Amino acid sequence: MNNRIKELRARFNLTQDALAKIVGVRRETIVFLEKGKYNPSLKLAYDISKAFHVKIEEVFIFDQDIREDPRNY
Amino acid sequence: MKKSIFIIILSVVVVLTIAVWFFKTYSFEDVQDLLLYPIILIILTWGLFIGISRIRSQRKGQPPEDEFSRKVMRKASSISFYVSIYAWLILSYIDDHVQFETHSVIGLGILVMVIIFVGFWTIFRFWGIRDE
Repeated sequence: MNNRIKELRARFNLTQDALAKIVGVRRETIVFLEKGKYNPSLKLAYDISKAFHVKIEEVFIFDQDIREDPRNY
Repeated sequence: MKKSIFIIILSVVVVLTIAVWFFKTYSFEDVQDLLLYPIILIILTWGLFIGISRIRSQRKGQPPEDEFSRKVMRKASSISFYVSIYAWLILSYIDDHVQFETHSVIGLGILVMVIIFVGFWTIFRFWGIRDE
């Protein structure tokens, strides 16, 4: 899963420390998220997208573009 | 803050206890026993690292622990427990072939568990946890 946290953070002129404080995590967690070394919980993903005033899917992008549609079953 | 100080005090107490046990039990002539020094150092460093990073986070107005640090701790604990079972199996096999004193085997087993846990914790803490 990729994400646009770094890009959005730069757009909002936020430091990693500031974003960490807003969403209630440690700076290390933001570092690992930006590097793609950690996948956040649904709550953290929601909090981050809320901090940037965008939808979750605009921040977090799944690698698998081609997915089987469950409606086909 | 209290929890961070508690972790630092606890790690120092654990290391001091191991040091006292070490000095009372072993003689310095045995080179094998000197391996305990780095292990004590690892435990102390690990405890201090956690305590200091928690205090540093709190000073910045961030939580001392969050979902990532908890996940690292949980994953390191579960995998090290799983691996420790095999470590104990190997130790019991060695014990059958080489005569050790019972307390030495237990002590060695605990130290191996500590090394395995700290090793996995370090891996997950610095390499991250992907695909979960």
